Amino acid sequence: MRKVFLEKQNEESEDENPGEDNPCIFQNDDVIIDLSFLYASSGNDRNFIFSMVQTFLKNMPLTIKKLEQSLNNQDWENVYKTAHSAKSSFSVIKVDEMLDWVRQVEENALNKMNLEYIPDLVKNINQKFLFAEKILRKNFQEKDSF
Amino acid sequence: MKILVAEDEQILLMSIEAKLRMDGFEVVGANDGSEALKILENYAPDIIITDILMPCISGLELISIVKSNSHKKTPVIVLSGLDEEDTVMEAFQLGADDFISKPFNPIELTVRVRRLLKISSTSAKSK
Repeated sequence: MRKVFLEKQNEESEDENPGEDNPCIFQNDDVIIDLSFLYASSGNDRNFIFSMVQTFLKNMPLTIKKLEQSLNNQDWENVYKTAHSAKSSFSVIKVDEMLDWVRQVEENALNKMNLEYIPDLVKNINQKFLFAEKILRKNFQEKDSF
Repeated sequence: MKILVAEDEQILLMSIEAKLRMDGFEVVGANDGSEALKILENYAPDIIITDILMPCISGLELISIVKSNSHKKTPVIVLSGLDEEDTVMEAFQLGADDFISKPFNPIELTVRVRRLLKISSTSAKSK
């Protein structure tokens, strides 16, 4: 009986698509974006959510560029500071693994340890942001488009 | 009740401001520690929420200054990363009253603010 229940539960979780019924989740095969912090902090204020997403789309490419430049210059202090700043943005607009990656970059740069992993992490951050940017631009073209 | 929030990341600052205003607080935001200190010259908040790593004057410097001047009784909540235990300890040693780890739930922020205001009010009445 318990086995049947578990099998049923597994079937359901395989089919589960959290984005379909949850207006805070935007996803495709490449990325999952969770905007629940914005919805909760504004009481579902669409103007506010729209404005914050636009700010994110404007600021994050500059932050990632700064991260890449600091990395190229091996300026670990600025790599640390920029990753720390990105961490705050990704704690509001949650893009699946992004928060873990920027946290890892921040920690490695701060402690000047495992620096050889940072280029790949920054590459991942850049790539994932491009996926996120695409889905957010598509869904947030206008204030009433989401 | 009045709250001063010091946070250099625009999206997070504006989200915190929106949440606290929605919950009935008067909120003033500062983009870094030096702006927060400037605001404190003419503003007496009931609580201060501050990030740690900010340009110009850091959160730790802000706490240190606040706790040694006329705002020393104002409760301070520190916003920190999960991996900043040492810094949080330093903040407590400087006089911070509570901390909240990023990423956090917006509801948790309001709960902690209300709790700290209650403690602060009880403490003031008993004196």
